[in-house]
Amino acid sequence: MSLTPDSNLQADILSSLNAIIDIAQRWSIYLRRRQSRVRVAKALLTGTLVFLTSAAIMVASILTQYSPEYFDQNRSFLLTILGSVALVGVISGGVSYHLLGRRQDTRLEELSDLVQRMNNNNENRNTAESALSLAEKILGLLPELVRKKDQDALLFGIVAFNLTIILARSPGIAVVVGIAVWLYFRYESNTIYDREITKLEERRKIFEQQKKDFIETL
Amino acid sequence: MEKPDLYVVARFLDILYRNGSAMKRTNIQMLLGLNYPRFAEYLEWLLNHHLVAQTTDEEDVIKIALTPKGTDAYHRLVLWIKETMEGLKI
Repeated sequence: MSLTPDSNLQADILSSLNAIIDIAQRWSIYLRRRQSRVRVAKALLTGTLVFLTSAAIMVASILTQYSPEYFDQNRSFLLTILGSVALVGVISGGVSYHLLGRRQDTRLEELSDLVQRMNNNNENRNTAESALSLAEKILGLLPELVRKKDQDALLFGIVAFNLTIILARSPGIAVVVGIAVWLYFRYESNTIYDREITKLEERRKIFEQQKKDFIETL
Repeated sequence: MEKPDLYVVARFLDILYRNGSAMKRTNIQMLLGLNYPRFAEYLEWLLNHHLVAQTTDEEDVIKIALTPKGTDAYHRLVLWIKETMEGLKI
């Protein structure tokens, strides 16, 4: 029975554990950045959606009551209204950014804490068990960070509505075009989202199977 | 025990590997944080798989130590986790 494993083996184990911490640290930084980017993207989309929806409603209501010449005759009034709507959009984006920031992901915090503890070698946390936990936490977090692009589809639909109402000057046609574009991009984004989630879930299942297989090899 | 938890096995191996020498069963149990029946099950499983070995010292105290197979299993476990982490993509 060997109580002191040879120094090469010990060095290899230590360097592997250090490599795991480095990889986990990079993942932790990447996941945090991605979370932050998703937050900014969602806030920008919310602001844009509020602005475009309000503008679309405004244009549609004017067109149902007045002739298209109304836009040329009341340019300064319309610009003031448009400015106010833009301000509402900016405020909505800011509120959305603030609210999304309050929803802290505890699992990401746990991952950062564990990486930190392993890095500082606190409480002898630089262990195979902690390394296993790191891998599991990262695999669990990945599906959470795939952004469901529902808002993007809605944005494309509203842009299509706005463009059609400007070009065709008919709210009815604009509504049909807007809905068609929204449904198409919604279908596309849902398909991409499902594919990405399935891929990551599959990876997680493989990891679970590998854990079982590893036990079998012992 | 049919399906041991890899986390517990990893912790068991961690404790013995870090200690570097044979340890008393109670010390291992305390560090593992398992109740005695559960600890005994895991110990038996590890003994049956020759990952750890039981010795008796000069004071007749039973001690547990990692075998070369146990050290190799610990090494393989760490390498496997490293490879898994390296292969992670989004």
